[in-house]
Amino acid sequence: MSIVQSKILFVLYLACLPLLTFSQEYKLSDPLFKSGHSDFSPCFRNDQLVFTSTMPTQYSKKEVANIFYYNDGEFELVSEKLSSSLHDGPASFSADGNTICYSSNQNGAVSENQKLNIGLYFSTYVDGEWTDPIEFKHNSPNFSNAYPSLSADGKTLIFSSTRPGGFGGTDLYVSFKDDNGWSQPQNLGGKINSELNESFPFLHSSGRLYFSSNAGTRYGGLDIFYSDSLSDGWTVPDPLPSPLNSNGDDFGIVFDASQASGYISSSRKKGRDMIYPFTLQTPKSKKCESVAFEPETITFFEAGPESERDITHLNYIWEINNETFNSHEVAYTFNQPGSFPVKLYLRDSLLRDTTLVAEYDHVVKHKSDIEISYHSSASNDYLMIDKVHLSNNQNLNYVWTVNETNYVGRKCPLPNDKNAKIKLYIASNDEKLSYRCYEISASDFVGSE
Amino acid sequence: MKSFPIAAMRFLLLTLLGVSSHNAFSQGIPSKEENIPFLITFSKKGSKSWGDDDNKQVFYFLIPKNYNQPFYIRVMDPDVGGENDEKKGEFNSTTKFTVYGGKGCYTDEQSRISDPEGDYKSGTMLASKAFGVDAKYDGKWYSFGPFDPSSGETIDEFNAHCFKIVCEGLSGDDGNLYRYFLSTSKEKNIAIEGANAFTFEYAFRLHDDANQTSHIYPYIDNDVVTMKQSNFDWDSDGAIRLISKTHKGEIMKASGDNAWAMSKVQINSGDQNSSADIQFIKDKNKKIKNNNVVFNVTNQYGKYLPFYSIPIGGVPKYAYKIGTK
Repeated sequence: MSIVQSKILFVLYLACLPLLTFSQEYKLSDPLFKSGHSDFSPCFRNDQLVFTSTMPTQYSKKEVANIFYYNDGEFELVSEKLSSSLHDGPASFSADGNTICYSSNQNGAVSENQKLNIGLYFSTYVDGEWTDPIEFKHNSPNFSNAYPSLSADGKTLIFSSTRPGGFGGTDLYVSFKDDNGWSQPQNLGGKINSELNESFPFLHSSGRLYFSSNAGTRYGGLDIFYSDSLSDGWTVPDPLPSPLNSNGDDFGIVFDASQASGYISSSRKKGRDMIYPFTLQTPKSKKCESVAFEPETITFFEAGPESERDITHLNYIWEINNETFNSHEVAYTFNQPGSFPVKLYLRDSLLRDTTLVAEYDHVVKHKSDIEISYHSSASNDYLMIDKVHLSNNQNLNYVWTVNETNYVGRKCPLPNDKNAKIKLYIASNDEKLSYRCYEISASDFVGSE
Repeated sequence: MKSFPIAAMRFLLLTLLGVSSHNAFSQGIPSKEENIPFLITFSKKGSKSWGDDDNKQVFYFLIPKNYNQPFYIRVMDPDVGGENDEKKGEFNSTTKFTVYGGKGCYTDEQSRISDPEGDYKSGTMLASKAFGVDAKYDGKWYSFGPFDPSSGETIDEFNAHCFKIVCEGLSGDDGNLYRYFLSTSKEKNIAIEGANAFTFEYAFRLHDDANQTSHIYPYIDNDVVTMKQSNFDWDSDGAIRLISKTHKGEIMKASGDNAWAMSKVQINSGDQNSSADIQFIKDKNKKIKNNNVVFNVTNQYGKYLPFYSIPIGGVPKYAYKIGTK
């Protein structure tokens, strides 16, 4: 099964349902180039854009796929060693750019039904050149493994496969690399896979998985969906918004590290596969709410049923957040949110004893809708959303702008600049492009330990 | 004179039956919660300045209707002599204990008047014994009975049989200090489950130890709007203080030597149908010994409120609450 065939085999599902709204607005540019052939599945090798194309080369005049670098309108084969006489690509690289995994027809491996299935191959970049391809040990002549996506560390591989035991059509699988090599592929499960076709995965470093499917499509043809990996598994996939998805086949997407820009391949124009750059637009919001925590001063007093009279022999001792006060009332300032023990002791000068008469935990809430914390890693400092106190906490999308650079997800890098302008936009997929905007003071975090 | 509100008493007893299980075996009078060492009754020739205004003390006992076994009213140290009693010159006094049951024992209005002119001997006399100086009973228990519960005055509203014991100081001038216990046994103090005891006027001995605080627990029914307390011969020995669900510690007017002191307390709705805690807090600097005091409480109509040895609803506590603003 060739790459093009497999894509064509996807059943077009023209849903009559209304289009889903999506909170994040993207701007899709014109095609990056027009080769006149099928150009698709962009990916990054370090900062270089790599793509797959059926454009002819000096080695093949036929419409077979090969893997190319793109550089300012120029195309260059990634390596002659990675170009066979049949289809090669799409590809995926490890974050250091030194490992490639790519799809290729299994030369000579003809299945029982006389199909030339696809397999996965690896090569490493050593001393300025790619080594001879090594076959993925779970390839088989009886089914295809295709469309790989390597994790940043090169130890997780997600790919599409027609291997038996799936949900139907092509399913997505994952395999992990350890000292014994690549593990037995595991189906990603029923939240991701369907009885139709799931393919063209892209595993972002944030843990978000993008993939194409013709199941449940809302836009037509292949649509691109995304799902986040949580501790309890994958979230229910959501489709990317228009204009990323269209009534054509939309597939083979790649995002940069911040998920604020990337490339997508699509057949939306005259059915020809082309690669389109896109960028996330900075959300618009008229008003931004500050999320800085403001100290809260609370006055505590005895609020029992008796009016104040004739209690000169009774004195109050307050214990608030482990500080002690000898006064009738106490005005106490809380400098951070949390739960703080408050205890009221009664000093009885007649009995000459002190007893605990009332206690409770005073909760100081972060008055903002969101709680943000500072984190530091070996590579950078970053802010992360810990809690969101919105009435609708489901399917939220987060867009940060840090000095006018956009970042998508629960965290963003923290610049070492106390004057940095940080804004966070939150919207739910269930809402119609309705962003809430929060202004964050970098000085609250810069210099934190 | 209006009768004591029976409806209020019915509620009171029902409450009592509902909450008394934890005190089912503490029917000593005074009770552990009261922390009163002894009741006291002086004989007729005793000076009122010694701490007894009327030379008598009346206690009522409630035996649940569902209890049909014989019982005893036991008296600790009934004689007038020896270590516990208050000696004025040589012991020369006689004290009489008389147990009453039958019709009118409680319901006779005059029986519930603190004033000694009232007919506090109403009802049917069931037993009586006078004690002088008698080493046989000194520091020991004497048991009246056995009594058949049905020989008490049956009060349907209380769901109980009521008995009464009157202690009278007869001849002489000494003070008799004693305690009671309502028991199923003649020989031992074995409590009757669900029983209780009350009085309308307390005459009792305070601890000599100034760190000990005594308590009595008037029951405040839902008719009480104002409570008037009267105390006699407190000898200015510290403070008398009220604690209830809505009073966190109101100091009440306290008497000096051989004198009455009275003051009023406003009762809030939150105090009704519950007990109050009247605390007798001795002055830790004066170190007064052998202090005796008389205490009673009336409502705004002049009706005496009962003091239960097992406080109805448990020992009352002020409901402290932390407020914020």
